[in-house]
Amino acid sequence: MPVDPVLLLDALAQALTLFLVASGLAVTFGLVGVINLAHGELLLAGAYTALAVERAGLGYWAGLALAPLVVGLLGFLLDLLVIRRLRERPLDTLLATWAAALVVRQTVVALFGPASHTIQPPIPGSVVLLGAPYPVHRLLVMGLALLVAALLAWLLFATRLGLMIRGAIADRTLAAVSGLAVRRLEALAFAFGAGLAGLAGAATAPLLSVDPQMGLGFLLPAFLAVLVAPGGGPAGTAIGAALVGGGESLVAAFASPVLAQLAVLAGAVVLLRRVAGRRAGRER
Amino acid sequence: MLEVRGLVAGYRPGAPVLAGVDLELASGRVLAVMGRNGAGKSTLLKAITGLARREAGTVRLDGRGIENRPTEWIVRAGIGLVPQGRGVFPGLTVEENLRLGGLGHRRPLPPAALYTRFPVLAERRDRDAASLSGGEQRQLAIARALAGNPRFLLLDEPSEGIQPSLVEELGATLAALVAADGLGVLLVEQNLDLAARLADECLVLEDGRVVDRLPGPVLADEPARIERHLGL
Amino acid sequence: MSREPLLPALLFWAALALLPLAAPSWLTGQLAQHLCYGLLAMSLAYLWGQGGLLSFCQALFFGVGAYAYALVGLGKLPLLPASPLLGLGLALLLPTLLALALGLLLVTARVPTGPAWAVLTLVLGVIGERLAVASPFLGGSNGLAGLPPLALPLPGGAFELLDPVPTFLVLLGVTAAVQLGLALKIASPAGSLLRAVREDALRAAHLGIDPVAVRLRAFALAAALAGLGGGLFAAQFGFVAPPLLGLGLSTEALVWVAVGGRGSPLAALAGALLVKTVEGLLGEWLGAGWPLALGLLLLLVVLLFPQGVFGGLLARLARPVRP
Repeated sequence: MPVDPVLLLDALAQALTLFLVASGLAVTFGLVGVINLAHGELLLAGAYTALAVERAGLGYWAGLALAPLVVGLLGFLLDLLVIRRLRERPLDTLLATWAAALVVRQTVVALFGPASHTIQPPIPGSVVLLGAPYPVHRLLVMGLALLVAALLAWLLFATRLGLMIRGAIADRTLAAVSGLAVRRLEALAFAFGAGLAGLAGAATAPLLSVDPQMGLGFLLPAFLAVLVAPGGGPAGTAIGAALVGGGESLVAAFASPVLAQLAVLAGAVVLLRRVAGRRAGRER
Repeated sequence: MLEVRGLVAGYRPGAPVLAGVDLELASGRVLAVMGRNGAGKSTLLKAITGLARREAGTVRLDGRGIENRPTEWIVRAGIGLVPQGRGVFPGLTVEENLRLGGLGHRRPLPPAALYTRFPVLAERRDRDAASLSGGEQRQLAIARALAGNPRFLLLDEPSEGIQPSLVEELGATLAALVAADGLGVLLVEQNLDLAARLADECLVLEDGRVVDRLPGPVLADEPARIERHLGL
Repeated sequence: MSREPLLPALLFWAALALLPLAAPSWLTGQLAQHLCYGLLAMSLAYLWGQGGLLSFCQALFFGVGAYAYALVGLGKLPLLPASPLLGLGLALLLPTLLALALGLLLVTARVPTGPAWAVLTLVLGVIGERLAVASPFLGGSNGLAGLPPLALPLPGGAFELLDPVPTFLVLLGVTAAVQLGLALKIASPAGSLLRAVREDALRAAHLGIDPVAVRLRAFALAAALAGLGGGLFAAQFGFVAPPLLGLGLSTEALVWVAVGGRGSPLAALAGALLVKTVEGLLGEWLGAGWPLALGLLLLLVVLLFPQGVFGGLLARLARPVRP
């Protein structure tokens, strides 16, 4: 069967979009050790920030620039008011972030209504790529994801801050014993991860229908991507995102979207079992 | 001068491990802390550096109370800690470990200065710290703590699990640090030979209390006096 | 909590049994439905509070129970006659078997019971709801309607549970029996085993306990109780739809249990009744604000009252009084 090159491009786009969402999650999971079930809602908040800014007449680009800042602040508050207080109770952190997700989602419903909205892409239209027209904004999002990947790699491996973050991920107590203000570092990382989710939300908003459920749709694939990622760095996250996002998009093209989601979820459960087993073995 | 007075500390409220410990440590001196497992030796080091839960008592550095400060503040004020176990950042290179040890500090020692004291680390500088041998990891752990240029070094069983010839070498390195840089060392140690070689004075802990204070030479001359306490 | 105090439970059931004398029949009918949710809440409290297994998909088993009742009640299953009682039996059996099958996949020694396990249950919840929506046999997103009510085989003919008061009393009996049974289970050696595994699975394994088997049993028991609640709910409501197995209801169940108290099934049950009753009173008035209020409530309870409202009270009662 000849494979349509556009199909591969779609799978790549899906994987890169997922990477954008998952990279923020990976930062908070790696450093703070918290599975933040409100991460999907941070993305939602980013998309609605873009919507609100556009409605205010400031245009899409202002929204794209503002979303990471607004959502970063939201993440900072989430860390300060919720996650920090539950450090000794990891299961309760899950529950509390799930509750926070509900609060954010329902606040969005209260402010913008339950219906879906559309945001026009800033550069409409398509370019011909591999012999077929391809939407420009989708290419922009792919470029942004690559940019974020490069930025993350630079930040983690070429700066003092990155060294501190890698140290705190490797051993939190030893980092404090080395004179690092670990709590401040974690707050910064959490806000940064949230900002990335906000950026992802604003960037992908013109490709999707913006509705209150869109966060949940991204949360699970992003989680699976992070949990099955080999290693904690951006490279691992990219592999996880490629497996989950690319796989889903390819199965969806050959079978049906529902089946694709099921297949990917089932595959991830199997992968997760192995990863979880490996982690448990290491902790022992 | 590092002074500890009436220190009561532990991990859970109402269940203190230390039941009131006093000690003082001057620059250029080595104070050994000995005792059986569970006597509270490690907890003492953790309580001084803010890692254990303090319920009462004071810790003063040059007359200034530091007992309510967070760990990173205490470390930056000049108290280095080499925790029990491997004490290195796995996944980071040797050089990154050493840089990280100095990052939060005002006058860190550059890795180059540390390599002169620990030459084997220079050869391994680009290796993952987790891939080093046990003895090398121990040297890296100490070098990492020294990177912050501390005035007092708290060492938790540095000889544990490494071979005797390396313990010998470690003793020589520590002795040189104390003699040359005027470092004050608080040494928790089960290895009587190493403690006897370095210590100016020795505290014996039992059930979270100081039950005996012996001058250093006693360790070497009359080991029976200390072995009685350790149940050897 | 290792021992459920008996006196508060008896007082609670006695007071509830007298309620139809004073309450209007619509309220009695509503409470009968809430008791089904109470079964779901108790199953989750057992799994989470006693077993340490936080589940984001407990409604999956409730929903499977409800669909099992619906399929048998409508005679849609081959070989099985359209019998409500048989449907209730299948509402117990099918979730149990499903839990055992899923448990063999999830509750292995190699999957730790921390956050990764919770995320897996979240994934399961999503899969369940999507499958129900995608299945024409299950009525897709419209669900199945026109289910027969529960019928008790009494001498002199079957007695159909249509009126609120008898329905309420039957449900009260079932729920009370389950609560007291769970209290006994929690106080028994099996309950101690479950708590030992929750506290430290590795140490329990060293003591010769098989943590996987202990967790699997708890998972299956909780699924059976949730399924029973679902079956009884379908019998009363006469209608089943995919949200009965979805994340929304699973989240609501978490709210009830967190508010009531995860440590005690009785407290969790009281939490379910309290939250559902408040929803009945304020829900219409708050409208779309109700889910927002639920989220805030869950957040505040987790942060400020980890034992739950009733759980804290019961713990105080259960503490032995020292002279």
